[in-house]
Amino acid sequence: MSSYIVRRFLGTIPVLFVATTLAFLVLHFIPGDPVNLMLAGAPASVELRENLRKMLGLDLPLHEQYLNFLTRAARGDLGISFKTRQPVAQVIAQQLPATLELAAAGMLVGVTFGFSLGLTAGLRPNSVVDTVTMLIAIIGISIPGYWTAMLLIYIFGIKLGWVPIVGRGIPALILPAIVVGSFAVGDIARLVRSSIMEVRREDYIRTARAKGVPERRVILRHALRNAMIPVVTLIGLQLGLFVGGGVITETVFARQGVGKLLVDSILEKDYPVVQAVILLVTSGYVFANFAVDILYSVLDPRIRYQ
Amino acid sequence: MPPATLSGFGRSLRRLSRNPGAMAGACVLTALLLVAAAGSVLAPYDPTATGVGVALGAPDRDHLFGTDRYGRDLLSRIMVGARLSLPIGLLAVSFAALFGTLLGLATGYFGGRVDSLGSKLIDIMLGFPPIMLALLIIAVLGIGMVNVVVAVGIGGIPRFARIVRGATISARENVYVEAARAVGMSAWRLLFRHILPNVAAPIIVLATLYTGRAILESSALGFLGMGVQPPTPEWGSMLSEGREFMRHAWWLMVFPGVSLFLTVVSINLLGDFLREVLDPRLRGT
Repeated sequence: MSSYIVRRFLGTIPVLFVATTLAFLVLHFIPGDPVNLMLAGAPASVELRENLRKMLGLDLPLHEQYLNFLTRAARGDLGISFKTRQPVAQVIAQQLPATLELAAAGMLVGVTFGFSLGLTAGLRPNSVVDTVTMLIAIIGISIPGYWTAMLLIYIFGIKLGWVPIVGRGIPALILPAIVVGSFAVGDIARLVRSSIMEVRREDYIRTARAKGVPERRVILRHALRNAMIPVVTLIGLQLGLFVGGGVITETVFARQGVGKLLVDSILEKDYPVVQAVILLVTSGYVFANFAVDILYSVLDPRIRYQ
Repeated sequence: MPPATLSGFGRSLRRLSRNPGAMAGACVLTALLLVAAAGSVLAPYDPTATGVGVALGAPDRDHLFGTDRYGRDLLSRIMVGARLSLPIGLLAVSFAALFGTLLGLATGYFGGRVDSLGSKLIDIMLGFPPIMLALLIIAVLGIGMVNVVVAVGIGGIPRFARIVRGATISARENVYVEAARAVGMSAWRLLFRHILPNVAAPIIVLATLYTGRAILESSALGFLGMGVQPPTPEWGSMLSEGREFMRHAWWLMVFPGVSLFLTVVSINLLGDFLREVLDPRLRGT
């Protein structure tokens, strides 16, 4: 088990390395001079420009800049925002709680609905419930998430006035959570359904029934547990959807959050913030997938020996 | 892929007619492609002409879908918008399929060092959340339509590469491949003549299913203001205008959204059907 964890952990290093390198290079690939962007068109003497260049470390050779970037990032120093002149780490820290809140709530909605729909459909294939579930699933993967968000805001926020559409707190979290969850409901429901249908044909299910285990127990103890394995992987892969869903949902609802911060920073060319958010989100994603893989190997011991 | 004989084609058509979802998808898509091809001729008004109706006019007989804040005809803008929204998605998928297939063929066929290096590259690309990759590319390349195609396309490359690699590894073992190698056929010629036709089915299926996603992703970038810039009509950026006027003009939000949804749902229904017909291995994935 521990050798599997070590092996899997080493596998995350190349991704993190590429992510940091790409984030570092963002500032060097962009057309134009970062110093100009920082000054945002304000007139400045040659001396001031040189000072700024030194302050940003842009006068050093590229490999030294890269090493500095890495050591500073490791210490949590992610530079200064061009726009607000605040430390980037501080800017992100202000936005992070709202995003984590949304991601957790969205995941709860997505997994709960996806799982119950998929389970009901998988236990009664070709029934009405099954057809409806598959319909919901295909709509779920075909509907633009930001459009779902707009329709929900229009119906439940504006027309019916049931929930607030701005602000923090649980009531204002309901609609955004549904939107983020809806990115995943379809995929999860489809996979749970096919997984359940497959497991139900296995010999050990027939054995359990034959020895008189009550149907409820057969489903919960034998079928569901084995059907969970591919579902856990999928949820790991879906983390990317939650991240993407966060970016879009935060923008539509004009919510605080890291996703909205990223979109705004790209549009305003605030590159230190762009670098930092990409670095943060990608590492978060890589480690979450790492955690899912470990969970996966706990659920299915066969994985570890491959 | 089944041989392209007339009976094979007829059989496929019969199977299509027995699947109502895929049939509806095919009809809607055909109509959309016609609109996209002839949109500027069919459109009742010039899509960028302002003041052809009142500003924010509700749908009526002259303007079936209403008008936007500059008094432009929404129906015309949606019809002409199909010319952008569909090709952007298709181009992004072609980009992904082309480079993904090359990578998959090379890693699967040559094996050894090529494979270990290529597979590592595939894993690294899959390690990124797709939207982060797209936004990173937009941040570097800047805003614009071509950059959206690249940004959305790159995220698809590892997905194509992985499936093609697997299919190539099993096709490599065929006797006729060995025979071709024995008579001294060059590796790339062999790949394109003998291996590629054998891995075409999964590529077609994935390309269809990925087209829906690519259209959604590129429209989302348009919605975020990172794609096609106004006044050029594109469904994603039109929806962003719809969001601004949500309280006063529901039609600006409803019609572009419905168009986008119908397009993607049709592609996905057709993709599911193709998956069943062409590639039983992919079923349930």
